[in-house]
Amino acid sequence: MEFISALGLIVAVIFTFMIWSYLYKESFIFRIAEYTFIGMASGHAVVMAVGQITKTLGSAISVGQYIWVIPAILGLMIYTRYYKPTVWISRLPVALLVGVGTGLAMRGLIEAQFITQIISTIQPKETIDGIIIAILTMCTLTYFIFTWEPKGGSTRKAYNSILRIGRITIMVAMGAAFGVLATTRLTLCVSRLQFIVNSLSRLIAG
Amino acid sequence: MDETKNKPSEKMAKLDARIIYLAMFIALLIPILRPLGLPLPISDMTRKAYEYVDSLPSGSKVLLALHVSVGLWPEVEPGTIAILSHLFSKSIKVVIISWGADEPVLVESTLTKVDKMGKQYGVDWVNLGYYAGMETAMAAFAKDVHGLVKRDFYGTPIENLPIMKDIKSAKDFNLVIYDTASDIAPMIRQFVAAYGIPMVAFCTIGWVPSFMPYLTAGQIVGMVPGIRGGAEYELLIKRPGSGATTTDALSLGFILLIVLSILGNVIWYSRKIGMR
Repeated sequence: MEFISALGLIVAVIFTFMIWSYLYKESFIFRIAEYTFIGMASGHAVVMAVGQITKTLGSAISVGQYIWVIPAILGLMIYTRYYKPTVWISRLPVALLVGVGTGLAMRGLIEAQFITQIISTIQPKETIDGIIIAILTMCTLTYFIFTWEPKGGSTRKAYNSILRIGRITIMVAMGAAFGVLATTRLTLCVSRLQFIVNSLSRLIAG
Repeated sequence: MDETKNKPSEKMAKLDARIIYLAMFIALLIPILRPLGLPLPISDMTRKAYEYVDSLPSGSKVLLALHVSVGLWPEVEPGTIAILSHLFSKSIKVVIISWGADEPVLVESTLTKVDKMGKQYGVDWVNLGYYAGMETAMAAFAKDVHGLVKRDFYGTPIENLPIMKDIKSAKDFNLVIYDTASDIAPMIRQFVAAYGIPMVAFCTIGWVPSFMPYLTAGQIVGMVPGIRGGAEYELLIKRPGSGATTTDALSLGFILLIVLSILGNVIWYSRKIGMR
């Protein structure tokens, strides 16, 4: 193994242990690793962003597409927010970004996230799963009606049962969310353990 | 002297958390050192994704869009390796694009672990690199690929890449694979709703509940959930890899978690009874 690759592996393994030292106690060692990671991640993001600008803008201008100068100027205008008298200038590109972003999102939003989803929920399902999903969705949505509640004995009882089913559904969903979160964290831990085991075997094998 | 302090339930309730961390590390480490080969049933969502990809004819064009930060990459990497191996084995052309700054480098590292079966860069596959702007970039790419992308990740003008010659817009792709640790809705809006391109999601396990409605509604044709999905995909293409080992370790970790949860509840009840 090349010296530089071996050094990279050793540094990565040491930093992994430095981060894990937090499980024992928060310490100076953990903070060094944490700040190093944040610094490297920020540096990497800046390099990639600058790379993208030079790649896109530089290429376009080099072939005479001067229209790309406009977004470049708009981008530079955002930096005026660091000087109080010129803050207003930065609002123009931000307003444009928000407007374009909202407009683009709205283009497919109604079809993708409303119509198709509603049809999928209410259309007759062949499987029992579909019927359960439809019922539980309605019960959950009913749980969030805060402006009205029925009066009278039996209607109120039935309504409360629907609310109870809705509440249980939300609790089940939250339990599932916790479960998947635990899975993600354990996966990351396993991945680092695999990395350490593989790195140590490679280092030992030379 | 207070006798309750000497009760086993009281001692267990005050157990140092670091002992639990150590037990978890040991549980996770055992299958890594010695894989157990625990059974792994294939879920419907992964099978659907595999079958759709497998049904694509040779020469089809697939967009592999990435939005997974470095911290969550280990969860989707086995699945990414498996899907790329599957695509290369079927001689499907692959265009890789990233919506986050980390991914171009991550996918480069992942590609070193993939058997490319003699496929050539620029002809059979390409890494276009990172494009900022998320949904605006997605929309711009879907509408006019050459309008947004001028050079690939290595700085080669895309006019010089044969694979990009026939790809002008989203309509030229047979399938979009979205490898993500974030919301899928922007991609659904800009590719599925706007152009009707079929989509398969490779996601971190945390996003599965959020993506399920899209799978049920047929807006995505298949889903490969996290490390488990990756392991399932490895089995489907008959190339078991790191995903299978990881699921072994996860299974053992979960057994320990279940035991600890039961133990925690037993302690809680026994303390409650003791207080009465």
